[in-house]
Amino acid sequence: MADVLFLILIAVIILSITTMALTDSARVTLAFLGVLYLCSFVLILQVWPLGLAAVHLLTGLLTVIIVNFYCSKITWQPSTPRNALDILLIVFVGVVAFALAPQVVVYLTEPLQHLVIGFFLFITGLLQAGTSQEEFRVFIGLLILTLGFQVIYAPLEGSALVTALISLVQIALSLVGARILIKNREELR
Amino acid sequence: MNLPFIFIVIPLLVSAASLIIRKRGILYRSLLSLCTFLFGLGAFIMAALSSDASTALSINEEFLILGRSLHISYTDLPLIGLIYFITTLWIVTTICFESNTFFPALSVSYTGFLVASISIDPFLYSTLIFFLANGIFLIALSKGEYRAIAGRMRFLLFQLLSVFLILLAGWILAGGEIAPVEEDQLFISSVLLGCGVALWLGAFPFHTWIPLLVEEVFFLPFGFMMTLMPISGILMLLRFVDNFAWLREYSAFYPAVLYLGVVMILLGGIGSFFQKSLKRVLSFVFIAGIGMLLSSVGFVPYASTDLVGSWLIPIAVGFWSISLAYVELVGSQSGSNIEDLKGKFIEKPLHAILLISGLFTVSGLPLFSGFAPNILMLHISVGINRVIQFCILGGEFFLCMTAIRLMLRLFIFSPPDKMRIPDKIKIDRILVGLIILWNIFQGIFPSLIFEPIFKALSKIFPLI
Repeated sequence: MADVLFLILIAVIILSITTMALTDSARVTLAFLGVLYLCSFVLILQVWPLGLAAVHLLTGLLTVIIVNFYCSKITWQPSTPRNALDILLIVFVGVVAFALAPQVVVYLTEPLQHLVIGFFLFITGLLQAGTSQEEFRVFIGLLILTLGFQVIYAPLEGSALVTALISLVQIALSLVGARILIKNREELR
Repeated sequence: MNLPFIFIVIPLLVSAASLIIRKRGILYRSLLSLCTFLFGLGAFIMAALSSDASTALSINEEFLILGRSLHISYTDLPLIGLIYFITTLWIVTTICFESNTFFPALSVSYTGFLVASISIDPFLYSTLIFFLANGIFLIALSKGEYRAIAGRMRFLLFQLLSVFLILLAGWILAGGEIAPVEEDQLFISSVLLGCGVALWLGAFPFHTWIPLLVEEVFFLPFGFMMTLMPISGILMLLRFVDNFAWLREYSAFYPAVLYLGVVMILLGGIGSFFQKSLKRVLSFVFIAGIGMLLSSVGFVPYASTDLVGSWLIPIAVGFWSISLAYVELVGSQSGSNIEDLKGKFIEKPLHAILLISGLFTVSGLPLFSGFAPNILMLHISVGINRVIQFCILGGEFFLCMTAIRLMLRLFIFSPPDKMRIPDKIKIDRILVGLIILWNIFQGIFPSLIFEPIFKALSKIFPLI
């Protein structure tokens, strides 16, 4: 992959993740989640045929639509210390991803760009799911984690069944997770 | 027609179709009980016919899907039959006891997915199928209370992580079929696999989702999930070992699994003893039970798959007894304290005995079905390491103390009421009585039931 494309992708991904971390609206978060799926589609297109990559993109967009259907009105109170922590985490994860990926490429034989972006998304999602108090952000963390894994795993395994299974897993996750979230909101109100 | 279609696709279709009649309680539950019973019986009959040299069965063993295959051989059928019978027992239970209306249908689909995860080729994808089953089963677990959802979120996170780690470990190990695997590659894949299985089964220190989840959900579906989930995890682990010679011969693998299991037994025992919430007490007992199964995989070099096979039914019966007794003695009230058990022996003696028999089964005490595998496990552990034996005994000691602690509530602190003898015996009492008797029968004559399971497992995993 051309270095320019990689740089553009990583810049868009970092900006999207940062916006998702700082915003107080579910709609904005979901819009940028859609951008992340679009970026991962461009990345995965380098190693998968168009048909399979399109399945990945469509699943991602469907996920965004499902979550938006249930949770579009969710908002939360942003706090400055939390925002500062999020930015620090993103910087920390970026450094770790760039440092770790060249070491791991020995074991997972795939393009370095996939590993860097995949690890960045995976660890960001994991930290967001692990450190967030807000259940909606935990759920978005799960979706980012899944996306990161898909980016890492795509060059290793490109079978139709795996793509279908991962798509099913993602749709089931979004349906069940979004439903639990909205019920939780309704009860707490 | 082929075997995967019969034992995977049809159950999934039945499960989906049955949701239409879910409002007609008795019909819906009875129909699903009958279906799962027929699937189980069918599996055993086909297995028996296939082993008979004079009969030739022509049903295909393979079902192609998206370029890969689901493969159920005739040797797998006894295990599949056993799994369907376990599901039947749980669905029959829902006829008499309160649960989520989705539970019977989703338990059938859960079993169908479990069979699919056993049969898929390459077997690495089984984790994905099982996550799908767990995700869908969350609907059956939920009891209409969503004030706290942290447990469900953590459950999803841990299961998702485990899927990813196991898939990556499998990919690294699968490379070993083409080129030799280096020592550090083997180490990394073992660590990934170990962490993945630990997250999946709730091994220490990733056990936190189990007590957290149990506080938020219906206990009966939870018990069902905790019965089938470790069985699937153990079968997948055995399949890893059976398929990858590198892993089988890796000296650190079995001890690592053994220590993981033993720590679960000890932690489960201690954890259950010091809890106040009854749900949490029982969830730690489940952790100890899963530890028994996991450590039996660690004992594979000494006892082959026999120890795994011998724990399957005691764990299933023990977990069923505990779950049903909890639902009947305490009901669906959340935040139940162990003090809620006071005087319950007078009110419901049969279910109080069921609870104690379930706890003693998991503890491996004499006269219960867990005794024989426990004796085998302790006997093997003598020759390996005293620390392991001490941890197992320590965990079992605390499990017994937990049972005594609950018995004190059930028996000694009873109010001065007289025990009521019911006018007529309800059908659920017959089921409970039969299971208690079965448990004791298996405890006295273990070889009658274990032998066929040993044979079935040795055929499924011939290289172990």
